[in-house]
Amino acid sequence: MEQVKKAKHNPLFHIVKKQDISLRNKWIIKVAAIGVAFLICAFISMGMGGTFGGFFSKIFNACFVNSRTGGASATKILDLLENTVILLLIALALVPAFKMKFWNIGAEGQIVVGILMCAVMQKYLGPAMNLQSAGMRFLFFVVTFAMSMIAGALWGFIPAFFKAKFKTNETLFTLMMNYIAILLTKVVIMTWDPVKGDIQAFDELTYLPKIGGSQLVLNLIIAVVVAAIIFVYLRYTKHGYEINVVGGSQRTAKYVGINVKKVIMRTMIVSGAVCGLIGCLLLAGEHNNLTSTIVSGRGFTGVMIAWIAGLGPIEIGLYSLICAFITKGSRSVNYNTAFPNIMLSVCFFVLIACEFFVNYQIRSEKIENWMHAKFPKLFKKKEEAEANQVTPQVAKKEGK
Amino acid sequence: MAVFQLLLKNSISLLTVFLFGSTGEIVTEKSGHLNMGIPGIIALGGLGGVIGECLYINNIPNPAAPNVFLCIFIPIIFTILFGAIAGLLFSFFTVSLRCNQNVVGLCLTTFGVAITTFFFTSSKFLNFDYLFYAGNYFKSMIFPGKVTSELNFFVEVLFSHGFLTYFAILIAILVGFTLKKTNLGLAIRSVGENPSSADSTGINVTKYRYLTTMVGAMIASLGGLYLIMDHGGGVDPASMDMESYGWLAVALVIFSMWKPSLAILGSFVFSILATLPNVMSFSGANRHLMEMLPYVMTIIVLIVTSVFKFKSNKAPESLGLSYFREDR
Repeated sequence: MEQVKKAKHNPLFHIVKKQDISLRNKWIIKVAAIGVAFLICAFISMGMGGTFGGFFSKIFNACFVNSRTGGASATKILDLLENTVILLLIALALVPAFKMKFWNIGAEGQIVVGILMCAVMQKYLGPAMNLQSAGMRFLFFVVTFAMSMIAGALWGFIPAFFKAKFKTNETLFTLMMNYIAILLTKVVIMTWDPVKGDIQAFDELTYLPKIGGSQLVLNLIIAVVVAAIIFVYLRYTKHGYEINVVGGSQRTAKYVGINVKKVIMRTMIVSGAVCGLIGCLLLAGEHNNLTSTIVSGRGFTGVMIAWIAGLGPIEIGLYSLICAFITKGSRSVNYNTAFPNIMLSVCFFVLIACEFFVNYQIRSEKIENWMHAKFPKLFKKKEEAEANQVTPQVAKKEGK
Repeated sequence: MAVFQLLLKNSISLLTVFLFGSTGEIVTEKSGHLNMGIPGIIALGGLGGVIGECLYINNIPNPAAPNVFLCIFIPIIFTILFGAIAGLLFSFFTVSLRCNQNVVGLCLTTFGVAITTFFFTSSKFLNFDYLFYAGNYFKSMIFPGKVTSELNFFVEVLFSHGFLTYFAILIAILVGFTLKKTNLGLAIRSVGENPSSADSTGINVTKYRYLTTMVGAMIASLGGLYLIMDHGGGVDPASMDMESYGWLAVALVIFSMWKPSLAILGSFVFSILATLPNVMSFSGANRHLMEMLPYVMTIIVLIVTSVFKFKSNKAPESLGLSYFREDR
């Protein structure tokens, strides 16, 4: 008896995988999710004692408007763009590793090491060279960038080596490397300046030169160029292809003759090197004094962006912009340092959830049947269209 | 000798945080869910406890003399509630919405740590002034009265802690027993090893994964309560670094080979490393070097366990994979 009862019981909802989704629908869902994320953020800020409209106007003002003149502010927009591009770059640096299904949570640490190496160069190499001449200064930057990239690459290589050789859990490994990198920075800061515990500044000339009154311009240019190179590397080179194959299935890769271990290590070296470069940009171009909190969680934000964007370059760009917008904007809504992270994580939750609606569909037979019975007109057109679609295929099969 | 005693005593005190965290994570991972949100859950648990305690102790006429029972059980209930909500959030995203567990976990960590830091650093919402009165009760629930140096070495090291320490050890043993010896444990393990065959034998995979994630989150959240109310004594909750302790707790699961009984030992080792820089009173650069120890240790553990693979130290087969019936 009981079995019969169980068999009769149909769940109200069930979940079906979508066969394919049109690009338009996908973007409608994503844009809707972004809208929902902003709404939730606005409600949270209302809970903290703001107004609904005030939230949006404050964020907008913080990102675009010059508070003195009321017009557009070039510095603010430039700053927003630079933040966007840095996030974009971090996410793009992670894409090769993620494509390979290598969980590199250690972007933060790789960037920090890059920063540290850049600082070492600024402190020791800078004074040793005659930076007044343009040629020497150029050479200095080339060396500094190269060294930072090597440092980042090393930080990425260590977990990759053990992953490739022994299948060591890379998620926790890279995470621990983050902490070690941050503590290493603290050690260096303390040895250089045991009293105050922070390095105010290095030689002016060891910073990236200003273009149009702001260092951010050069930063922006370098970042865009690097982003383009990574994109090309992934899309159009043999290495990029190999990464894709390894990510798809390691067995297939072995079968085709790809050296999987080599690909894992090489890809992480690339990923780490780009992170190291970002570190250099952050210190020499954005912050200009060494602290252990320059990155301030942007490595993790990059991880989220890369994943939520489904590793697609356009989505990464869009989400980076939104994240930079929210981070910068919410600082003006509430002055607590943790507030931007609350907003960011809420947005991420919504965006993660929206992936579900892109990939799956909730169907309910009971409701569908009820709808069919009550409003047959609604379904007439659809059924006709389906019927028309089916007939030619059936005819073909019969013809065979 | 005094330093050695202090080191052991503080380590056993800190052990509780790691043990709660890793026991919770073991329960979750045994059912095939890799919950990277443990640091966030620990933080949220701490926040819940502090909110509960503040609600109680700020609303009684004499905060210096609270009702012992209420003063301890209100925060515990709030902590468990917050932990359960966090666990529910995680399992809703990973089980029902089938999102990637790593990403949801990281997101939960960011969220939990951020919201906790927010409430702890802004004085607008909560008043922490009387919290330390309650902290005293947490510290001396089981062995009331002063535990001083008159007592001998071992008694002070082993029995001078708050009740939550012994509760953590009890829970770890209980969880170990349940997972290994009972039908419930068998069902949980089968869901973690091979969900589709578990499903075919009539085990409700969704139900078990929700259950274990929530129970695991509840256990882990107690770590946050302990860290703030007992280890920190309710003084300055913002100074507690819950995120890094949480990550170490996650790493401990691998160290303990998914066995809660071994997690007790592992927590002790890790807490010795974590308390060393405080006890040895290092300062400046040396201190930061010492602070690296637990992380370096974790990496060594990760490498060693991956180089020497025993039959017993394997992760659950389908750890980190969402289960979707139609995928078969």
